[in-house]
Amino acid sequence: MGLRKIIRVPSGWLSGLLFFSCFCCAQVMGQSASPGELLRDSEAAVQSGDYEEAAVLMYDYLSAVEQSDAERVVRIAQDVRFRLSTVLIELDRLDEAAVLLETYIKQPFVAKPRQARKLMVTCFFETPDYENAAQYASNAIVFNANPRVEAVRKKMGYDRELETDKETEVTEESYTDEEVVSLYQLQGESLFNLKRWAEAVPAYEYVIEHAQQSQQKGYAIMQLVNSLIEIPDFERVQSYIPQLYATDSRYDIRVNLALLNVAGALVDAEEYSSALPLYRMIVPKEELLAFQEKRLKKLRVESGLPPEIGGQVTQAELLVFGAVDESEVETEELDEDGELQKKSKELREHEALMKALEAMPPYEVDVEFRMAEVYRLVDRPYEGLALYERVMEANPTNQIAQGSIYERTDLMLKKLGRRDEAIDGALAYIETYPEGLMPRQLAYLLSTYLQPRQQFKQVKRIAPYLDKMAPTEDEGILVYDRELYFMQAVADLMLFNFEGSERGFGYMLDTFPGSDQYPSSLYWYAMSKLFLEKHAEAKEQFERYLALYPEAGYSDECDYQIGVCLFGQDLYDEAMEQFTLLIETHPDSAVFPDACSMRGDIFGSRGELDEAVADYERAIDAAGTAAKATYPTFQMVEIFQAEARYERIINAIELYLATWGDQANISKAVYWLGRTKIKQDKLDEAIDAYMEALVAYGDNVLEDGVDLIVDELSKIARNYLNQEKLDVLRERIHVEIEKSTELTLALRLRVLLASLDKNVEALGEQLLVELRDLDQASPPVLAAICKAAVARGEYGRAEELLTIFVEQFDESAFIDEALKLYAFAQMDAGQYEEAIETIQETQERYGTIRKVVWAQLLRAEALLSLKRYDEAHEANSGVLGVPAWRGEPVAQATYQLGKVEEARGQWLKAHAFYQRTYFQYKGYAKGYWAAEAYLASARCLEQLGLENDRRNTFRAMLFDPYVNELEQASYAREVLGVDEVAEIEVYLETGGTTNINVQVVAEVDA
Amino acid sequence: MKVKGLIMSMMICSLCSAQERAEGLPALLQAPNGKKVRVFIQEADDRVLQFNAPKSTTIMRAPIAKVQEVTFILDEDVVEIEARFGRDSGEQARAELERFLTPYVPFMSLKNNLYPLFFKQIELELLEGRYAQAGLYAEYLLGCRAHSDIQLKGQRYALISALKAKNFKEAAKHIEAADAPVAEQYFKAAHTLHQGEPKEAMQEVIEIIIEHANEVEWLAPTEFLAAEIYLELGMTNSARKTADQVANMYEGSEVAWAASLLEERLYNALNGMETGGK
Repeated sequence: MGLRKIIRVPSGWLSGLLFFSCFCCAQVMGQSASPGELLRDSEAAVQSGDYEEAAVLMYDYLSAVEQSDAERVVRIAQDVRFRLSTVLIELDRLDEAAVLLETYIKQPFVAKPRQARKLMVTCFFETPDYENAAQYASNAIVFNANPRVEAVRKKMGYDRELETDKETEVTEESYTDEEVVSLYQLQGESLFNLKRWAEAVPAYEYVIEHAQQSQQKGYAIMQLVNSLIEIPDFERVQSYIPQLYATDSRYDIRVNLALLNVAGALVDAEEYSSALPLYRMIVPKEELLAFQEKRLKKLRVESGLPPEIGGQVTQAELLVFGAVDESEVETEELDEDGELQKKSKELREHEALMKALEAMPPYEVDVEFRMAEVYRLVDRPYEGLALYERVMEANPTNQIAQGSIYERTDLMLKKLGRRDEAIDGALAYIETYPEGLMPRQLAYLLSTYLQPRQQFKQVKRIAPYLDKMAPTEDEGILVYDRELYFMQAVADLMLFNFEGSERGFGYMLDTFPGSDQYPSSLYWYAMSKLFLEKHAEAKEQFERYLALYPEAGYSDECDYQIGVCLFGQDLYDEAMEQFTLLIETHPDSAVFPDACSMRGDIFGSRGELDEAVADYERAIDAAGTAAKATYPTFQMVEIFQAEARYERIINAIELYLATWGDQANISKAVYWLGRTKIKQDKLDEAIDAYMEALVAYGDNVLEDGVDLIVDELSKIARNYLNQEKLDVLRERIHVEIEKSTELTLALRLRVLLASLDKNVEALGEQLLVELRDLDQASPPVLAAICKAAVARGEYGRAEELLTIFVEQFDESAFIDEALKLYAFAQMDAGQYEEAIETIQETQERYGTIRKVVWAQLLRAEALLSLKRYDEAHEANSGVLGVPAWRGEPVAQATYQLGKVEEARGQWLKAHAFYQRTYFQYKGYAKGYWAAEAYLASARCLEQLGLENDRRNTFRAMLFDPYVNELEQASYAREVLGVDEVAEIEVYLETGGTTNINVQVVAEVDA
Repeated sequence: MKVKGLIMSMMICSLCSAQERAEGLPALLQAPNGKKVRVFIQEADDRVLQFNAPKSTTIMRAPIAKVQEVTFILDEDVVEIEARFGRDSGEQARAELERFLTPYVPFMSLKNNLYPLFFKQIELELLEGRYAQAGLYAEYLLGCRAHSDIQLKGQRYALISALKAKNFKEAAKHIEAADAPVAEQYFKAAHTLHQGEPKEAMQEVIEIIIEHANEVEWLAPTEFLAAEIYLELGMTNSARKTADQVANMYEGSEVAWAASLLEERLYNALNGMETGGK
């Protein structure tokens, strides 16, 4: 077998090299050097460090003795092979060395079988040929433990068997423990590189168990963890992580960087408890550099180099980084004496790693962000929050920081309940960094959190910041802008700021014409107009929607709302036509019941009650929700009530309750059933039912039926109960107040009791002070407070009270008290025009029912203050013509008519009105208006210079038993003087009456 | 192996004999120079350990400071004993462990092989609300002057016992005595929590976790404290998750064990099950 047969030819360049070697051999042979000389010369070349020459000579020697069978020659040739392999390793000709060593161990007389195998493993690993490296590492480990088994298999080379007993004797020293650990390490690394993770695990486990060096052990743990992750076997990963803490490997650059990857893989696998310690173990870049710099200096000094840092990174060395080309590595460097020094492999590796580490951006921020993510994912929000904040502080503009502000806001909102802080922080960020995606994402996060929670005022806080965001054409950003502006408009809508929602949806339509939200924006734009009672404009927009999207989601709603617009324009026939169209064409629509109810209302208003009932029944049948059935049900029972059809009331209510169960407005149903019982003279049953419902549902502030019951119970007590029954009811209410644990219920009961005791105003005064927070107060309670506030002229909470009504109880029958308070507050503030608007709203809600006559009287007063005398006169006159307002309001109105004329300087006309007041209406308001009228009348007479008549007026006032005890009478006494007053009083005591009359000619047209 | 077996059987014999038990607790005493001697421990106080040699009735005395470590010779491996007590918690488990440890407790100022069990005993006392007892046990650890790590642990247990018992005066003493920055920070955080300021305590805990991320010995109790803080804040799920992480991350430690018990109780509480114990 020739040399070419022994040496496997691994590559082209090696073939060339071998050819060159053979050529040299031939030359040397040609010069007739003997094998002995070759051997000697090669030894000399090794000694002088000329490894290239030594290798050539050794190859020549092996070629020269190739044919020899002599045992001595074969032994020497084997020895030369081994030494040649070490020379080749020195020359970095590793694949050649590996082939040569393979030949060496296959031949007899292998003096160093263990070292040969070890070197082969190193050569294969460095080449790299991981397959062979792994196999030979295993082979070396097995051989080391039992060399005899291997030796007996050996066959003689050179075509003949030359096996002897002696060859089975391996005299070479066994590997040291350190060498065995190294072999396992290389085996593990090879298998790891071959992605044979499961096979790598036992190798690393051996290293972990036996390695003496803490750093080597740590690295093995790291690689084992990597392998287990790849398998994957996370349970075992967990058990190795604590061990890592105990090693110095924390300062191993590769371990540190691998930790990042491993921790990331663990996070991906949701193994957070394993990932967290790994992230924590990562040493900050500066600390790591400082540690490794010391080590580098030491290595450089060991290599005979000055201790400064240098060098490049190789591909092979950068196990983790893999970024720098091998060609960039400096393998030699001048020493302090200017001599070129070869760097040790360890030094080169270290330099490369240091270089890579230096080139890396600081990774601590990334690590902290990832840790924050882990904490967030495992539901440890406080820790997550702290780390996100650190990341943000480090560099607020980088991408990670942006992610942090987002997550921080998310945590504060959703986990820590720190809403205001979250909003403040996010808005501050948006203000500082208004460009790009993140401010939009933050605003979107806030909006989507707040909107479902109906925190629309908070949503509106975002609005000014949206306008400051830098405009963009980026579609990825525009999609956020569309959503954000849409949500703003929705917030306005929900806050009843219909001007705002009209503007907002209008902006959507103008700015984002092609957006997905366009149809919705158009619909809600129209709805905003409808809410603003711009019926014609709203109708136009609904029609536009129908023209653009005849089949879209809101088309049937648009049909319905067009009907509502027509209704709002008092075009009832057209409205009915529209509702009929919808009823006939969209029987399955969600608004079908609403259309039926609306048409029912029109029928009802026309007195076509059977048709109305039929429509309400249709609405009830089609209602998909309790809310849609509630309105027609109670509208229908109103009709039945008017027709005294009590059985039908009961049937309707029972059907309603049976159909909707808990979703039904039970208290309102009870209210109606109670009213029926009252009409049927079943008072006790009605009271029982009312009290039970009041206690059962009275703790829900939004339960409007309960408020009706409170009112109805009060009426029952006033109109039907004798003292004994009244006391029983009062006691029952007392007991319930004592038992009550809910503030809302207790307040309702207290109002009821006050109503029975006719001291609601006093209770209101008490509550005005007692209740700083009105969240738990239901409409009757709020109404009592309003009433007391008006009586005391305390207007500080007027706006708050009206806002509560508008936002929560807009349909409540008690809202008039809040409107009244608000109107009086406006008057008090001199805001007469605004007061008239409030009065207008009140009158639109309540019409001419008696309890809102104050609105008409106040209107007149406001107009008088605005010196719009004709309108003021007309307003007062209006009171006189309404049957429901007879009595005291007429007294006041008449008096106020006098005031209008007095203000105009029409003293005679004014006197006439005043005189009418104290003649005709002295019995009202305990004589208050009459007394005022006497005084006013005297003022007019004074203006007319009729002093005698003036004094007569005062005398008449003191003779008038309706007014002479009132406070106003003291003025009359003052004017008339002590003597005359005493005379009058004596006269009255004797039972005398007066015929004093003041005759003044005047024209009064009221 | 044969020798080891022989020694083991001798140990078992020595434990089984009532007469020998009367002689004291069999143990190996280790001197600072590493030398070990088999003795029967009789008594110990702050300064002196009394023992007699096997087959001798003569009582000998050694300064506590000269004893590096004690290995109590048991008829069962400590690990197996630990496994026997397992994951049980509640009053019964506490009482059983207490019965087992009672003869050894007087010697707990000496570093010994029963510390893992003793630490668990303290954790159980704390978990079961027996703060005074936990405080007493902590005193033994404080007496372990030769080993600052054990003393520090004792200091921690003493502080926690005092805080849980609302004995703030006693707690303040331990806070003042803390000399390692991380220990001081931990003590302050615990103090803040028990003063009823959980949010502030959490900030202090977070600072430890971030600034002393590799102080494993302190990180485990600190994170366990975080679980307790979450509990105080009413964030039960976060408390459970944190306890679970402590149990996983510091597996094998007494803190991890205590955390696993807490986690189990919180899990049961969250799932509406009977929890047993306190």
